[in-house]
Amino acid sequence: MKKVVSGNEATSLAVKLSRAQVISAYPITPQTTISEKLSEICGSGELDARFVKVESEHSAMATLIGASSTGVRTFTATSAQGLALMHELLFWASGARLPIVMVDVNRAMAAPWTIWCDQTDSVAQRDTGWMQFYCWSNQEILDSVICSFKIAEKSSIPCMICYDGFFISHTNEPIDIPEQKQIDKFLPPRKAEYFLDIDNPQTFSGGTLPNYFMEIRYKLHDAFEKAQGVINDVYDGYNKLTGRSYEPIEPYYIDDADRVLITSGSAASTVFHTVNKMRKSGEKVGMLRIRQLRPFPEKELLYYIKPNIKYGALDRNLSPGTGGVFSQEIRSVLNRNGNGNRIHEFIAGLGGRDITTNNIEEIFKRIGNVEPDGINWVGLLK
Amino acid sequence: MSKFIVFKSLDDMPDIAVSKARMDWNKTGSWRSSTPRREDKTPPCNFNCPAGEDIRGYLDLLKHGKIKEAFELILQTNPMPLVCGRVCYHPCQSQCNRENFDAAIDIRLMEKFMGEWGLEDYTPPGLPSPGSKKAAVIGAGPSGLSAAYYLRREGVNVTLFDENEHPGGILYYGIPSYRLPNDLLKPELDRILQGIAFRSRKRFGRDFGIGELEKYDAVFLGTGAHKSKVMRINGEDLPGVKSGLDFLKKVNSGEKVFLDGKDVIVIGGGNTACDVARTAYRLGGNVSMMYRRTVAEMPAFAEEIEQLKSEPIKLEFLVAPSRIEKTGDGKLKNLYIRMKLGEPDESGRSRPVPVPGSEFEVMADIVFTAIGEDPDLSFFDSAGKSSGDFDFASVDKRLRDKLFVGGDILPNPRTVPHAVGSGRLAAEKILAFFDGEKIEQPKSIAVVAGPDDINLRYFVKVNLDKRRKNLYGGDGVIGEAQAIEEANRCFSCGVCYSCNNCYNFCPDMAVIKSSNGYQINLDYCKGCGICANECPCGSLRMDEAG
Amino acid sequence: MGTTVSAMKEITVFGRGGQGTVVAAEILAEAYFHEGFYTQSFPSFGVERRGAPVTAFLRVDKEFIYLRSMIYKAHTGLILSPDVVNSPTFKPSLVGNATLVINSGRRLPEIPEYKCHYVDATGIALELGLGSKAQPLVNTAMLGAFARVCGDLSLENVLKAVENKVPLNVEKNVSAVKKAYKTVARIE
Repeated sequence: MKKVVSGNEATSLAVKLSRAQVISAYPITPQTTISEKLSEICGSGELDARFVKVESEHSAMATLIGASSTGVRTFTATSAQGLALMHELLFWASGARLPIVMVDVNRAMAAPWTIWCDQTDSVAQRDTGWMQFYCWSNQEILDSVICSFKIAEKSSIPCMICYDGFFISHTNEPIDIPEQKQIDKFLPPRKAEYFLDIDNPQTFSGGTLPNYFMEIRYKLHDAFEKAQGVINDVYDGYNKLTGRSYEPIEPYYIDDADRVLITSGSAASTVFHTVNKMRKSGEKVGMLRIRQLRPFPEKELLYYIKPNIKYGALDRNLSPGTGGVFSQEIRSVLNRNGNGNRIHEFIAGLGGRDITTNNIEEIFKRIGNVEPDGINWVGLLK
Repeated sequence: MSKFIVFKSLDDMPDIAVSKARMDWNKTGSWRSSTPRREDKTPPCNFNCPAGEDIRGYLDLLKHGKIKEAFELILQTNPMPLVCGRVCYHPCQSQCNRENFDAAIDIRLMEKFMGEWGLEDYTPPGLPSPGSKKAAVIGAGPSGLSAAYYLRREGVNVTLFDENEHPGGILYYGIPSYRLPNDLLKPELDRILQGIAFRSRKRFGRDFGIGELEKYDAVFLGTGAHKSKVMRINGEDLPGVKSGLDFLKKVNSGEKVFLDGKDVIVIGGGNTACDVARTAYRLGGNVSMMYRRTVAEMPAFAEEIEQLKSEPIKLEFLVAPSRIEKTGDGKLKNLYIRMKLGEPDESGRSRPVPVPGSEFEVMADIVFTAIGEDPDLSFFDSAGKSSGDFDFASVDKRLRDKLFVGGDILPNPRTVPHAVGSGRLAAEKILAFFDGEKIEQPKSIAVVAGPDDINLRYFVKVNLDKRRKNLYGGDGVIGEAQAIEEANRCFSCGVCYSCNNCYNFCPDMAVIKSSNGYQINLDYCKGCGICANECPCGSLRMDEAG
Repeated sequence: MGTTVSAMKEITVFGRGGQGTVVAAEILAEAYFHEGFYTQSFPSFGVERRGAPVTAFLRVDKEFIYLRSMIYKAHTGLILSPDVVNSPTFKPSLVGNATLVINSGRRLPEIPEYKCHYVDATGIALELGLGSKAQPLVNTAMLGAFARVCGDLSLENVLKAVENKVPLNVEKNVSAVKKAYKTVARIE
C-alpha cells in the first residue's frame, strides 16, 4: 500500500509491522513523534507491546536491556543528548549481544543549544559495538527498521538506524508499506539462544576474569566481521518480498565519472539530485552513498575506489580537531590497504545548516580543480 | 555444583559470558549476615481502639472495594459501628501516623460510612441454632449488647435482661438524640439482638434475683453506672436540684420537659454535663455550666467541648458550689466559691483549691448535677466496690463462679467503645469457661508502629482543600467512592498490605509469594536489606543473626 | 535514471501559527500523490508558535524527489495570511513571476509583479464555522482555490486528500474547498 508519511511515521509503521514486544523511550526533539505514536498504538492495543514510561534515555536503554534479556523484541528511539546519555549502556547491550533496535534521529550535540540536524550524535557512538545504518528516504527508514530486527537477531548485535532530523524525520513523502502478513513471514518472533528464565536460573554477563574477557570481545568483533554476510542475506530475502534492497555502499553514475563525492544521509539525496543536474550539462560527476558506519563496508569501498578518479567525502558531522568521521574511516581503509588515493574532505550542514545544490556544485568544482588540502568547511562565513 | 570450566578453544566458548548450566546450586544465602523477618507491628489506630477493632484491616478491605468484608471485619469486634461512628471519641484517629504527613485518616467518617452501609446493604448470615449452654446477660447497654451478641454468634442461648422498656441503656436513654437519633439506633440494635431473648422491665434485684439465675450456665453483669454522685453540700436535696442523667433519661424516654425561659445551672465538666447543658439549651433554658477546674481539665471529649463552646451556653470555670438555698419566690439561690489550681491529684490533674473570701451568688430555677456516676450494685447484699476492681469475693457463691462483668462496672474509662470491648472480652471468657478453660488478660506486648516506621517516600500528600471538599462537602454523608479514596490514604502502619515491593526489588528473587503472604527463601537471600528498606509500612525488619 | 529537474514544482504556504499552514502543505502533498505525482512536503524546521509566521513547503514532480534542501524560490505561493506580503523575506522567497493564491477579499496593491488569484477564505471559513471567529481555519478553502488555479490537480483529488487528512468537520471542510474552487478570481 502506498501512502504519504513522514520519516518518523515510517519508523512507527515499521516497528508495528515488526511486532516489537517491549518499547521504552523518552521524548526528545526531533524524535518525539515516534515515541508519541508508539505509545499511542501500544495504549490502543493496535500493537500488542508493553510501552514502558521512563524518566530518561538511560533508563529507556536499561529497560530494553532487561527486556531483551528475557528474549523479546525491543525498540527505542532517541536523538542527540538522549543518545549520549545512553552511552555506557550501549556497551552493555552489545557486550551482552542483545538485538535491540534503536532509531537515532540525527540532531547536533549541544552546546550551543540546538534542535537541528547533524550526525555528530550517532557517529560519536561508533565504538560502542552497535551496527549503524544511515538512511536517505522515508522508504529506506521503513525497510531498514524491519530488516534491522532480523539482522540484529541473526547476528546478536544491536542495530541503530540513523536519519537526519527534520530533513527526513519531518518530511512527508510517499512510501510503499508492506502487508503485515508479508512481514510476519519475513520476520518471525525472536528466538533467543540465551534468555532470562526464572525456572532455569543462569548468570549473564557476570564478572569475567582476564583469562576470558578478550575472547568474549574477540567474538563480538568476529560477529561484526561476519555481519555483512548476514545483512546481505536479510536484504536479499527482503528484496524477494518487496522488490527493494540496499547495498552497504550505493554507487551512482560512477562508471565514467572523473569526480566522485562520497557521503551519507539526506545530503546524499541532494547530491544525487545535483549529479543529475550536472550530468545534464555534461559534467562527469558521480556519487557513492555509504549507508553503514558499522560494520564499515571496507571491501565494498575498495571495490569502488579506482585510480584516476578524484574523490571527495562530505561529512555532516565533526570530530573536533580531526574532521569528519566518515572521512576518517575512508582514509583509514585506503591507508590500511595501500591505496594511494587521497580524498578531499568537506564538512557541511552542521547544526541544521542547509546543504544546497549550489554547495555541491562548488564541492565538485573544488575536487576537480585543486589537490586535496585538508578539511574544507562548506559555506562557512569568511 | 560449581565447577571450574576450562575452555580449550574459542569455539568452545559461548558468545556471551553465560553460565553453562543452571545457577541454583549457588546458594547465595550462605553469604548472609542479617536476615529479613516479617514482623507486623500494631498500627496506632488498632492499638488505641478500646473496642479492639482492626481498623487498618477494614480500611485495607475498603480500599479494595470489599465493603462487605470490611463491614464483617468490624463486626468481629464491634457489633455497633453505626453507634460508634457517631458517639465514639475516636482515639484511633487522633493517633493516626498520617496526621503529621498531611491529615489523619478520618476514621470516624469511615466508621460512620460503614455503619450506614451496614443498615442499608448488609444481610447478616444465619445464626447457628442455640446449643445447650445458656447465658443470662443483665443490662442491655453497650457492654451487655456486645456480650450477648458475641455469645449468640457462637451458638449460646442468650437471655438479655434490662430494667427499661427499650434496649440500648445509655445509648437509648443517656445520649441525646441530636448526637444519636433513636431511629438510627433502633435498626442497629435490631441486628444485634437477632436470636436473643430480650426481657424488658426486668431489674435485677427488684424483678428477679439470684435464684432465677440458677438455670443459666453463665451470667454477665453489665448494669453500668447510673447512680449520680453526690456533691455533699447543703441544699443538694432540694426539689429543684436534680440528677442530670435522670433528666437525660426523661427526655430520651419521650417525656415532655419544658425549660422555656428558665435559668438552668449544670454542675460538672464531663460528657454527661455537656449533654445535659446542650439538651437543656435545646429545651429553651438559659444554661450556665459550672466547672471547678479549667477547660483544659474537662473530662468531656474534646469534640463535645468544641460543640458546647459553639452554643450559647455560659461557661464558668474554677467555681465550686458551696450551698444551695430555696428563696421565697421558689427560686434557688446558689452560692459558689472561686477556685484556683493547686498541686496535681491522683488523677494527674491539678487539684482545685478554694480561694478564701471569693464566694458569690447565682440565682437559678433548676440545678442539674452531673459530677459523675457510680455503679449501683445494691442488688448484692454486700455490694461490690464502687471503684477499683469488681469484688467477686463479695458475691453470693451460687453466682460467683459463673459471673462475668463488663462495662462501666469496671474501672475503665466510661466510654461506649470501652464497654463494647469489655462485653466482647467477657463473652470470650464465658466461651472459654464453657470449654473448661480460662483466659488470662493478655499482657500488652504490642509494638506500635510509629511515624518513623513508615517509608514516606512511597506516599503522596493529598491536596487538603480537595480532600476537604470531597469528604465534607455533602453534609458529612459520603459515598462509596469517597470512602474508598479516603481508605486508600491509609499507611497500613506496621502491617504488610501486599504491595509487592519486597518481591519486586529483591535482587535474588528470594522473596516468594505464597498464600500466607511473602516468604523469604533463605537459600538465596543475601541479607542485603533492600526488602526491609523498601517496605512502605515497616512490616519487615533485619535481624542481625544470619 | 532520467532527470526532470526543470519539471519540478516548488510551492510555499505562507501563514501564521494556528491557521493550519503545515497541514495545508501535507494535504496538498497527498492530493498530488493521488494525482500520480511524487511529492515531498515539510514544515519550516524548528519551533512553532501560535500567531507567529509559519511557512510550509511542497515539492511536486513526476519522479521521486531527491532534492532535500529547503525551498528558496517557490513557483507558487499560498498566502493564508495576507499581511505576510509586507515581510522583507516574502518577495525573495518567490520566483519573479510566481503564481499566488491569496486569502483576501480585495486586491493587494503591493504585489503587482505576480499572477495573483484572490479568494475570501476567511469569509468562507467564518460562514461555515471552521475554527473560531478569532482564528478561522482557512487552509481547506485555500486548497480549493489552489485546485482551480494550479492546472495540474483535480478538485476530486483535493477533496479526497481533505477527507483523509482532516480530523474534524470533514463535511464543512469539503464545502469550503468547493466554495473556494467556485469563487477564486484572477485579478490583475
